[in-house]
Amino acid sequence: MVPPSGPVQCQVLEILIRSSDVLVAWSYMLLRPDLLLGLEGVTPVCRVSSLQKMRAGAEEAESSGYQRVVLKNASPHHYLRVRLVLEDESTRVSAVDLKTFITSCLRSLFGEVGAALNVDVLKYDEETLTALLRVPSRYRSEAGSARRSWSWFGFSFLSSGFCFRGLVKLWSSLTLQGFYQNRACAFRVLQVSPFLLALTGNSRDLQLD
Amino acid sequence: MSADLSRTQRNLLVCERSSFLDEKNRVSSQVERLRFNYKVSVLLPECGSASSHLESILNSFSSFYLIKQLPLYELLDKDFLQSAVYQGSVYGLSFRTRIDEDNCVALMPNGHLVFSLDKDAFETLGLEGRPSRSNRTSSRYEVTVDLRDGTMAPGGRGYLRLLQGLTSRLKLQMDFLISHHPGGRASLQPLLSRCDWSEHKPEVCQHALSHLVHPTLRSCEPHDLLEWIGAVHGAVSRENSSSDFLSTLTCLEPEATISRVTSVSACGLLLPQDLQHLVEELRCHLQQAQTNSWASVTVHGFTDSPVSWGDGERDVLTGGHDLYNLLMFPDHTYRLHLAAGAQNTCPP
Repeated sequence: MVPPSGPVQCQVLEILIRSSDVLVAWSYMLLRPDLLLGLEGVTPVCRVSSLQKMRAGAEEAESSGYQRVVLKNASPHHYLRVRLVLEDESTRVSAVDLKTFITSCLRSLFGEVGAALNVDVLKYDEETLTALLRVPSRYRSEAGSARRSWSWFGFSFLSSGFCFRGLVKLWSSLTLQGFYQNRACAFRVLQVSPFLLALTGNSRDLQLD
Repeated sequence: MSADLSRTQRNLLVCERSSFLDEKNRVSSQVERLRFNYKVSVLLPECGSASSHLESILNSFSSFYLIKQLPLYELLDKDFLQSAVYQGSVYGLSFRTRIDEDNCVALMPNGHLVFSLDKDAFETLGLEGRPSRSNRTSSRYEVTVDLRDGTMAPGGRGYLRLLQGLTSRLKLQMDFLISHHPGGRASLQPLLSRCDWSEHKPEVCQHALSHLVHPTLRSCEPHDLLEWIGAVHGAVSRENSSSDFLSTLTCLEPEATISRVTSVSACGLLLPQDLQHLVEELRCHLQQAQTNSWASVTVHGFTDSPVSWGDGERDVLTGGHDLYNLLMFPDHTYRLHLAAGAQNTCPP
């Protein structure tokens, strides 16, 4: 693997990092340790091609070349649109109450470590009890920095403990929560996406009657 | 348990930077690849009188038609095939069917009729198909029939077999959205005349935003950019601090504040051709705008469409969401971001 040096003309450079490829991972780690350490299961694929600059006259803008990058599982957050359905529909739940309730859901299933998950209530509609939540896709385990160690060619590497568990923990804790203030309740997960932009449109809301 | 928790929904984000003047820019082809578009949202700063022109463009989008309880064998009618499927581009999609629960059908502009069926429906229909690649444990099957193929000509062997399957073995009936380019209603008349149908126009809504703080649009990270645009469209507050209890969402590295931004959106069955026209009109507007101006177009696909980008299969249970955002600048440069499920095929 050769990193690009100087201007690249009509070349296609493809870098494929796979966690199981020891030799590539070892050599690439020297250049980009932040991408490799602790990112099990992530397969970033970069494909960069640039063309020679085109000058078509003083009035036309310069072409800046064509760049294409494909990111896989690289979103730092996941977003959920959820609705709280209560047995007693007259119950009022404020945004602060909802955040506290979500934290308690995480605590009841995953303990204090789960409750430490940083969940943001981005938007909340008190009328419909619908909330937009944000959760980190990956977080550092509070159990310690050395979650896992690998031994390659006699060297030991300590991962930073990053893992894609934030969404799964939040979703599962909401799903399994059945009571709010001793009354039956249920969380309906309406949309889930790694992009907040995706939650601004839902074709299932299309009404044509 | 730790191994299961580490598996979350897989997703792809394709980031392209180029110029419209570059011969190899792929904006047009990418817009064409997402066949079934549900919503388009436009952000246009300091547009003044152009907002009314923008709204008129969205109001000129093609009409689409809702057919209630369409028996699917009606799609094999000879007159309909001749007027709509063999000529121009027909876009048809089952409506109010959920991709993970119900049987879904799509009629593609290339003449492909795509079924996404559960196990019982697939075995009853009796046609050649394959298990869903996205989730092999959910017992979903995909059947694709090329209506423009020689064997599918009316009276042909494949045609008769499909017709028999839909009329006697699996009598699928569902609400159906359909549109045609360039023929419109005239091309669909052979089908509409036999069904309960209604014509619809995309629903357009517009509102103004004031004092919008935006990051450095040309250079910010793709996920930060999409988060910022999503926060604008979703009316999500970004005026938080890291110590706030409810939300810590902030606008990373704010560059400037715009006093007025127009947000316009349209919902319905939107054709790629109309979206291409919209992009061209916005480019014309940007040529007359200030050098630090920009325009953002976000397009959402249908969640329950059985096809994804191009002819790809919908990846539902592992992050199936199709959308793209095109951020354009006055100097003909653009940033294009496409979101798709992570399948084993090439990304869009």
